[in-house]
Amino acid sequence: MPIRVTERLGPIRPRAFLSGFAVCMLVLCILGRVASSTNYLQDFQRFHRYLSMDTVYYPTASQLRQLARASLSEGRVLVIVGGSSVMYGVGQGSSELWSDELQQVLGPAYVVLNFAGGGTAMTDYGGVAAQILHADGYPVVFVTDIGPAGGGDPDGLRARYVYWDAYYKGLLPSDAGRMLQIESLASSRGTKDELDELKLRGLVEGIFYQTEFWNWVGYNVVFTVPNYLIRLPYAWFTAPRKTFVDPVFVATLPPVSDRYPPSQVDTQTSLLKAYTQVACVVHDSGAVVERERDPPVSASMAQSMEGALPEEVRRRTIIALIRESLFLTDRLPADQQACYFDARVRMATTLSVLGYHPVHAGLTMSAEDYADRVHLAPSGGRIVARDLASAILDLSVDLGYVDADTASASAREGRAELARLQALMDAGEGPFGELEQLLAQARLVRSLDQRLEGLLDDVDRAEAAASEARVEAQLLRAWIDAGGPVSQADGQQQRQAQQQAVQEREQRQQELAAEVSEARVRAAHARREAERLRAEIDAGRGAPGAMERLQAEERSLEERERRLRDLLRKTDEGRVAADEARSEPTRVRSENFADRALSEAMERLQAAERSLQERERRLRDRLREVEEARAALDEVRSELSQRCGRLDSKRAFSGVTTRLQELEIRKRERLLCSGLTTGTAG
Amino acid sequence: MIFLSYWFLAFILVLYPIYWGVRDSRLRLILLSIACVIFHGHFAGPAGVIPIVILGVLTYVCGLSGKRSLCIAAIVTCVLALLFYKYTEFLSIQLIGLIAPVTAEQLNASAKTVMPVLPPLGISFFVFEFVHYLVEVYRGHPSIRNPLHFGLFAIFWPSLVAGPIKRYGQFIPDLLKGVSCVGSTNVALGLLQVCVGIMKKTVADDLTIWIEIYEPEFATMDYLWRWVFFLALAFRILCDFSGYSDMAIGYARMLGIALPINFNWPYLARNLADFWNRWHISLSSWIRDYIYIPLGGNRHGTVRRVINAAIAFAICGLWHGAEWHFVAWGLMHGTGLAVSQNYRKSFGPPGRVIAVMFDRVPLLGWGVTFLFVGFGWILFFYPVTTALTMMRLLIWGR
Repeated sequence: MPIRVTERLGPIRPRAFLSGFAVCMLVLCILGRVASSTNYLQDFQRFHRYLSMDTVYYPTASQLRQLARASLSEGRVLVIVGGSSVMYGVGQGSSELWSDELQQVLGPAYVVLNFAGGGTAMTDYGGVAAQILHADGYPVVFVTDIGPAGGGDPDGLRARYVYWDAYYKGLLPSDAGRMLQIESLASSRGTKDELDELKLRGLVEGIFYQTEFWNWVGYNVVFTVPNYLIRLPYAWFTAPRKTFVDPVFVATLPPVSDRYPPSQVDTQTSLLKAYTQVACVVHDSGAVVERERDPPVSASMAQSMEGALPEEVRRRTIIALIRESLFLTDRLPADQQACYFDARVRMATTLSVLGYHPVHAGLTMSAEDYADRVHLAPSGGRIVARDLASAILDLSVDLGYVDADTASASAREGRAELARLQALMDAGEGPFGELEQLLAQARLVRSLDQRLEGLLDDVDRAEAAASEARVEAQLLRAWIDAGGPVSQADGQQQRQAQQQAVQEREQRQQELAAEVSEARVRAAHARREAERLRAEIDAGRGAPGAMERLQAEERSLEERERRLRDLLRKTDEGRVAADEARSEPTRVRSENFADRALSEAMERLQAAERSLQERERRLRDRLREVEEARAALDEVRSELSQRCGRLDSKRAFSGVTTRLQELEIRKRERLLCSGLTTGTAG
Repeated sequence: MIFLSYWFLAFILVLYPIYWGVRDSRLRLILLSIACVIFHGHFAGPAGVIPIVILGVLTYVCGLSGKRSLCIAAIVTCVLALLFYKYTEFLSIQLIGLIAPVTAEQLNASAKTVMPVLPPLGISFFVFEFVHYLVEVYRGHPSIRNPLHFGLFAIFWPSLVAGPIKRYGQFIPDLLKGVSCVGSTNVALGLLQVCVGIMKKTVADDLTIWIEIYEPEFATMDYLWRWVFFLALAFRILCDFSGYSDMAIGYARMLGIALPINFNWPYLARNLADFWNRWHISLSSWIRDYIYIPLGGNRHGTVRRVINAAIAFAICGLWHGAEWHFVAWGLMHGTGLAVSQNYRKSFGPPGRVIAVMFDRVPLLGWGVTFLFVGFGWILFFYPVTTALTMMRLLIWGR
């Protein structure tokens, strides 16, 4: 009967839904199984940053197995590299990887796969892969390094999940002794819950194959989990992992003096001192003996290494004993140095007793061959590869994987290949010619990049300067528009005119003043005459016609008073005009002072405008150059990309690059031959 | 994340087939009890189980007695246990430390000598459920007499870790009904809800990583990206909380037992009251019933209403974690709720104009509510000063 899930969802039939769920789960499990049976990792070289746990990608046991199967053909010996970041190749780019060197030196009868990782141990990916492939019956040689305390627990160190993944998928033979050891270790450390969770994870993975399915999806289609290392603006975390390449193509190592910063030297040397103090003591007689403790260091390491791998795999395991950088070991006191080297010899003896094949690799290395305290520079990687190649050839013959003739032939072929490469390199033909061009183009790209950066800096500076000039010009122009600059000649003429006007007005003022006083005198006289006449008239003594004269005098008086008022008004006006005219020369004089400043400002303005034009012109030039540089860069990048694509494979390319950097072919041949004839173990 | 561990997967792969295969309801009850004990024992460990067992027995006995004084004593004990396990450091360092730092340090140090490293698993949920039970018994409701029923109410595994907070009056009948008949309908609905929950939780975990990656760059990122971050924060907590609740409800449903719905599309709320009727419903209703209403609720005028809401939500914030920013988050919501419920009357004509706008344009109410809640999440996740800086950058851009 249909049921309504919610108000928003429509009805569903429970049995149909449950059946659909079961079918979907089944299909997903089948897809996971299919993914686990194919190798989809393209151009595998190592589990670089974007194919590792650092970016939430968890390679499975089945992937390790399928990688090996896909690389292996009839009659070839599988060399699996495991262990720590030293074996992974930290300090070396993908074009100069030591395991590629090892492949070149060993020749075509061998296939080298680097399963080492950052922070992993012997028993992680490499150890698990060696056990699986040995159980499958493949001719396996396992090459690894170990730490001072051993090679990790039997189920691994950082990537324990892969052991349990392999175990529950039935890829590892059951071993009750190892299981007990693992349980006991977890109990003693209080990590039983974590172990149980790992085992359940392996069990569930063995049933559902869910990680296989999601790894396939994440590698080929879309990745669904964000992480700290893949982020915008560089890339979307959703990008399928097949689109990512090893981020380190060529290692950029600082000069030796900077590889060991003084601030870290003491710490790192003290680590070595601690190691030597735990490992052994030097008697007064100078004899170096193992320090007495319960259990002894060598015994606990022996116990750890005995349980780490099954005996059959131990017999196929070469352990590279690579010492720390001479830069640091040389700083140890003499007795501690003796202790340090003695401990390594003792470690080799212990490993030999357990069935391992220890090889003191890289004894000829100098401080320049290290990238830091333990990791190898490309040159160091090449030395270690040569040292280990001899041991691998020996062991593969001893184990009966190949006969001595085949091994020699493979090595000869390797040498021939090297010779051919040498010849091509000398002639600048084939991939070497291409490589030369590639490197030249890479250099060009770098120089163009630098040039581009320089140009962009220039552009920034020019823009800043132009902007300043523009602001200054705008300010000056605004000032000129407000005040109005005048020339000096105009200013002088104006000043003279003003002075003349002042003189004229002052003269006029004086004339007016004289006229006023005269008019006042006449007016007073007329007033007195008028008053006399009126008095006579009032007294009846007025002469005939006195009235008419009086009236005439009064009219004259009125007229004079009117004129006097006019004169007084004009006098006032003249005074004001004179004052104005008097103040005018002061203003003109100050403007004449300002004229000079204005002239200078004009000159600055004109200079600024010229500078602005110049800078704008330079800016345009720079931008044009930037465009050209960018276009050239794009062109070269495009060409570089095409050329890279044309190379047969990244492996060939990286091998070729290695060849280019290492021209000691003959020396290598000699070492190889001596290794074949004398052996290097121990 | 307990529900996404391999142990849990193995646990349910074993439990469900047996549970469905057993037809007798009593046997199912016993099987469920055993499963709950195993689940609790595995994830809580002895240090986590013992305090819960003691509190559970105390609650059961006091509830069974029906005596009010005993119920009050048990409530006080439960609350003190919660304060002790979860808030000792906060109370001593953050509160007492303000007045007497030396005493606070001594108090904290001596408490730590008897405290486990982590508080017992799910103690907040246990205490809330026990308090609910005791208060209801105190109010005269019948107590649970069957110890098995009480045990299942206390440690029912689907709701043990992150709720929903159950009410025994609803749970016990559902439990008895569920164990007597589990149909394919229940299983299908439960499975569907579990799948939805897992998807939400997966999205939440991805968003969590994304937020952790970009949070240090918040001040320098583009203005638009800051708002994307804001949305990510809002949806991360929704997917996380509701995903877990969905899984709990779904797993219970697959056992035939209905748990109360806990999230109902909270970001579609048009006002804060509506939001709290949709967000973590079992918690907000618990806070309402056992804190807000006993404090006086909205019965004593606007001022008391505002104060009661602030106290209730401050406690709600503190329940999420013993940090000041949780308290600030609670106060923000308490104040916001009081304002949103009173502004029509209290703000006079402008309040009425705003009310008309909200009534006529529902989208406006939704937008304001979502922004308020979203800014609240910033305060929820980050210390107060950091949160205020982030808010300033979101609003003004610098």
